[in-house]
Amino acid sequence: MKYLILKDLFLQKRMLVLAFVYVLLLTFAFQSMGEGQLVAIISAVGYMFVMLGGAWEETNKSDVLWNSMPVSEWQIVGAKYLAIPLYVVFVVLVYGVVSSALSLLRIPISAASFNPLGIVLGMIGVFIAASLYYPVYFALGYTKSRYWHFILFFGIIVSASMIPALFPNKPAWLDPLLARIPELANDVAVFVALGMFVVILVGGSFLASLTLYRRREF
Amino acid sequence: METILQVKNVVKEFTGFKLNGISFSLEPGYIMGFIGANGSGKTTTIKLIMNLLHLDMGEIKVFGLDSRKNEQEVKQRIGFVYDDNHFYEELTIGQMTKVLAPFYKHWDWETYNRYVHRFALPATKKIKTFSRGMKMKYALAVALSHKAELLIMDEPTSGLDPIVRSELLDILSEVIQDERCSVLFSSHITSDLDRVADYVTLIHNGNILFSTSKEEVFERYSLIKGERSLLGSELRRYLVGVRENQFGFEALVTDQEQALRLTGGKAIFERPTLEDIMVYCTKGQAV
Repeated sequence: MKYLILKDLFLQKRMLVLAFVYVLLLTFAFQSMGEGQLVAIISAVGYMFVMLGGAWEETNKSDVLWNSMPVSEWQIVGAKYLAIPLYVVFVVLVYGVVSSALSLLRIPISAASFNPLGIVLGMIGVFIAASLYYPVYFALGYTKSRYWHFILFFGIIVSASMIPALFPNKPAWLDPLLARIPELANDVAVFVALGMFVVILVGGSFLASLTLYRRREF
Repeated sequence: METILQVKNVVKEFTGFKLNGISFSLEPGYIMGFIGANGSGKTTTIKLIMNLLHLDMGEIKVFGLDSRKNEQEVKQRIGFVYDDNHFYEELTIGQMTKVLAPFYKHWDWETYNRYVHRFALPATKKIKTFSRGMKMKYALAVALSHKAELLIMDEPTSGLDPIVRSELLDILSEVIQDERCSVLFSSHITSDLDRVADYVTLIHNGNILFSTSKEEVFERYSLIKGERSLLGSELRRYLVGVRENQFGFEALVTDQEQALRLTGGKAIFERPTLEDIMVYCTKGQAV
């Protein structure tokens, strides 16, 4: 399976330039989000890599190749999910370069600082988006699933950017909750609960993807 | 030695097309030419063998094993070359092979490098820069580099120039020398199969018209040409796919002796090519 992930990295490294452009644009678009900016950027750009991975397979009709070889469906499907953390690392590195460049060049675009919580939440965001996207992708292929992809992708970006506009004044009930976030960030139980939620979601998505992929014909 | 490939009463239905209970088998150490017109069912059959499509009914055994239940084991021993390229065009063959090779337990780098050198394939150029012939050669190099016992080739020579086609056919002849490897070679370019095939299976509209040795095919059929006046009802019983015009007729004949008697020696008999057999059998009723 690691070679299937290696293949994705070979292909996706070409998207480096695109990643820089996307991160820069989203840093600008989300600068009013404060601490949520890093989470939104990792989620959106990470999800873009998820989608592009599927596009490469469709362009080359590589499902015919992998299904003609002694490669099991669970390896094909599993490799896509396991590549997600690598995409997140990629995005974080790109964000680091972009935010450093913005700072050094004194460009007046606000870029959130790195924080482990933001990176973890960003990765969770990518996993959630991928968990919603992949079953449709494995069932129908990239071309037929692209409408679902667009709904998810632009839904994430539009929702994230509309939050400040929809809620110009923070609701009163939100303040106590936001005040608790630093506490919650140190609360192991919260992380365990969040982790379990993600594991159940991703596990369920993987099983659905595998079942649907096994039914496909090429 | 066990049959390498056995297709038994296979049915697969799509809208507007059906593979109608087809059966044929391939013994070890032989090349089977799988011929038929475009849309006859060759690629569908090959995809069923490779589990790219799911059977509606019937059974496919490869190396004596059920192709679905023992899928991974079977595919370890199969090499494939398809008409279309399915390798990642943005990768070099070096990168592509690095990804593919670990999946085969019996991958042989020495054999692979030998073929890459023989085919003069550039290791550092992207596959998208390769010509069609080079892509096919790369596919063949991969197919031959993991000690495959069955090569499945779906119209591999389609769109290739005569020099590359000849080169491919020479390699196939070399490959089966040790009788360990068998080849299922689908094509509508019958001249290639005239040269290398030991067995021939003809498929038409989802039905197998015949599956037998090439010698038997040529023993069974002759090409008959004669004046139209010779074309009586009794003669027609022995003819397949008659072509008539105001001057005469041409057909495939299934019993040359009877046809000779019925035409009083006035017709001409020739040895047909596989193309003639394919054209006349699909045109008329096959015997």
